Amino acid sequence: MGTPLRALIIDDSGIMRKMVMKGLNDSQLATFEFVEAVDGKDALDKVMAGEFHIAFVDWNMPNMSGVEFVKEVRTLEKTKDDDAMPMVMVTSEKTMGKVQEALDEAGADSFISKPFTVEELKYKLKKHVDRAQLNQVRKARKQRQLAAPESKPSGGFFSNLFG
Amino acid sequence: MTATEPIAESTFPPAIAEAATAALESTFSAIFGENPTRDLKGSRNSNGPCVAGIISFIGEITWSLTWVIPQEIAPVLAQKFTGFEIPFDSPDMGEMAAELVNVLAGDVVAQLEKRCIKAQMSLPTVARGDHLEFTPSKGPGVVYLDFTCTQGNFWFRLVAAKCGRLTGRRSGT
Repeated sequence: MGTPLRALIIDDSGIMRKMVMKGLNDSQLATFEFVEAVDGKDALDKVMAGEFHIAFVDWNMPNMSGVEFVKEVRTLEKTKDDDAMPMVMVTSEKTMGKVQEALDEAGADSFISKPFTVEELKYKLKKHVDRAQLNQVRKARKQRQLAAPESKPSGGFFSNLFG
Repeated sequence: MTATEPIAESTFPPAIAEAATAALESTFSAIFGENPTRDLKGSRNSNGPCVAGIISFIGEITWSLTWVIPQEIAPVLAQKFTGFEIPFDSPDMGEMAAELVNVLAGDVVAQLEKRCIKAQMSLPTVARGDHLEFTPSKGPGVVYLDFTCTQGNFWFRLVAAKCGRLTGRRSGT
């Protein structure tokens, strides 16, 4: 297992946040480091303050709904899809209209209806977790490159030459 | 009921009661792995502590659904639903009841859509109490749906805030 994925769990129900976290741990798709948010507004503040690799988003919440949150994040990202944070709606909504609204209009990556099973999580999340891990590796590489000093030949021949 | 059939002011819309019954039977069996049995005698017993999840629906008519869970069965249902042990008196038990009715409401909306009835659900709320008693409403329709499962009894109360001729209207008309 590599570095844990930072996962944002957004739901106004504390018990549902626990259920989602337990389900994700039981799925063994990855090692997760969880951060909880109680509504879309809280989640947006957390996204703007820190880095997350994947988000699990309830729909109906006070202050800011899950769909509004997803739209806000997609607007903020303004980047190509490969680098976009995978966002999965985990919701009791289950009509086709709601699924389409979340996936096509808001920009969520997947839609899981409550109640869910661990097997369902595994099946529906595998590719999104894989993408999150790929993004994580890519971002870590970029950060290492940015943090490294100006590339300057070192040691050996050049050291001897310029002393 | 046909699409244009008017509903009596004092009657809970049968199409909605039917959708709610279908939803709660399928949701219960999906979560708890058993089919609850409808208790047509209506032997609901609220002589003890209960927790209730309440949710409203707004659309062609406005109505609410209350799922009353007596203390005897609440911890068992909570364990099966969440995977955690939840003591009856803990705040988590209230959250569990709210989430349970929220999940059910999603299925109710889907069942209503199948019947061409539009509805949106509200956020859930919770009530707790001993000897829980519902004051009969005047005017709007009220329906009780009683069930038994392996662990005991539980029941639902459906209340229409406003029943009218539009109930059962097909989408787009």
